[in-house]
Amino acid sequence: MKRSKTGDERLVKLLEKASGFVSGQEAGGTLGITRAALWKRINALRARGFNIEARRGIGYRLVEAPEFSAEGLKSSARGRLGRAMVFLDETGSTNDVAMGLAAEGAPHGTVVVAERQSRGKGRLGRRWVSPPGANIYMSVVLRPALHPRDATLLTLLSSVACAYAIIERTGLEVKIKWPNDIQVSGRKLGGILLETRAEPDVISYAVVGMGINVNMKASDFPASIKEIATSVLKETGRRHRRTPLAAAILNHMSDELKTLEKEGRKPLLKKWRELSSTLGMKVKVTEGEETLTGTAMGIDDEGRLILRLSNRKLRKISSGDLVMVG
Amino acid sequence: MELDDLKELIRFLKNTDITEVSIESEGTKVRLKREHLLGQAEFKPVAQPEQEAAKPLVSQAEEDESHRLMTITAPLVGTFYTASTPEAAPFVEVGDRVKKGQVICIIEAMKLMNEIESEADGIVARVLVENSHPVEYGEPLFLLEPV
Repeated sequence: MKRSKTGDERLVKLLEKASGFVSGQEAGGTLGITRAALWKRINALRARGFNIEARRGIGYRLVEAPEFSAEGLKSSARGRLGRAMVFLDETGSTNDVAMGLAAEGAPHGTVVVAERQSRGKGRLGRRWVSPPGANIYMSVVLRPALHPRDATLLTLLSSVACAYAIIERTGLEVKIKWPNDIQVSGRKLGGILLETRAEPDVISYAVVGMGINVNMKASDFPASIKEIATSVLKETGRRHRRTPLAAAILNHMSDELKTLEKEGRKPLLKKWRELSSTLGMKVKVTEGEETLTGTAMGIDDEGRLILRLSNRKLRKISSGDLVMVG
Repeated sequence: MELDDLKELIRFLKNTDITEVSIESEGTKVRLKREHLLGQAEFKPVAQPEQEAAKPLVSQAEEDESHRLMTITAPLVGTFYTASTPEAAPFVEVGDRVKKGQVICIIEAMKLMNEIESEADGIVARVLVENSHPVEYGEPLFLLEPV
């Protein structure tokens, strides 16, 4: 387990903000550490992939930051999400780690990121393909003041935040397939799985786990998902830095949580509907033994799908696998 | 919704402090409303002797049963799962001793897996819903014998 150390992200932020060299005196003064301690921190950052130039008598200059790092992510996360961060080289599932930390009392906004997942998971014990060094596997601990009945708003909220962040950073035309699949040209670019612990009247905590395919090459996709999945690289033809993308996701989540708290669910529902690829379409939903076909008419205030069946009756769907049929 | 389901629902509501419930299932809409009697029943002021004279509405045996067993209900609408994955062993089975706060099932709604906690220490007397079946808000899931 590799955890980021306090102070490192402040040093990174300082170096990032400077247009040229930062003197050792200034950096040491800002962080409140001696020049010897500063030198140690600089070397620790270098060991983690930061290319930092040092010039005697002048100071330090950040030549290039690694494409994905805890320090970079913490320094670009604006809100409360990402203040506490666990950045792992490898883990079974970031959601499992985050649920464990939440059970131990990890604060709202704790973020768990891994470079690789050995048991990345989806719904019903399904696998999330999680090759190393290419994608974002990130789970966020939330402690929202929500009744369990309204927990599904977090499904909508996290999908809207991911969609906005990807649109902002890549320019791709991102859509959401009900309830929260992140899609580009009808293919899955990202998936979100949420887990919560609920008491009868309140959510104790929730974990939002996001898997976003960023720099995954066409050859990295197993045959079983080649036709239905995609990545930012596949869609745009170029690699994207993961730090600003992951930070944008956290920042949009922070913003949406604030809006939900202040203005209620209406703005969120509106944004989700605007991003939806499902509404108005003919769809087939399978849940357990039951398969229903109909037209997706809308979502209700909890985000449940309102389906108009062929006999014109309306049915509300709260979970299931959905495919477009027309 | 069958008549038996409705009876079951009314019976269940009696043992909770829920005063209003509305359920929609396959085109049928049922709305139940009742006065909140819990506080009155507990106080039994001396100035109102006529209340004590009132005949109980349920038989003694039924009352014993409902007093002994605690109902754990669904805090949200969704799909009920007895285990974390289709391959995993169930969280609890009839006869298992559970602790307050222990996870006893999952209810999924919109890719959100809600781990539902037991509200008390007890022994699982009945599991009322089958795995991967839909549940409504407030629907009874487990009967628990408090210890």
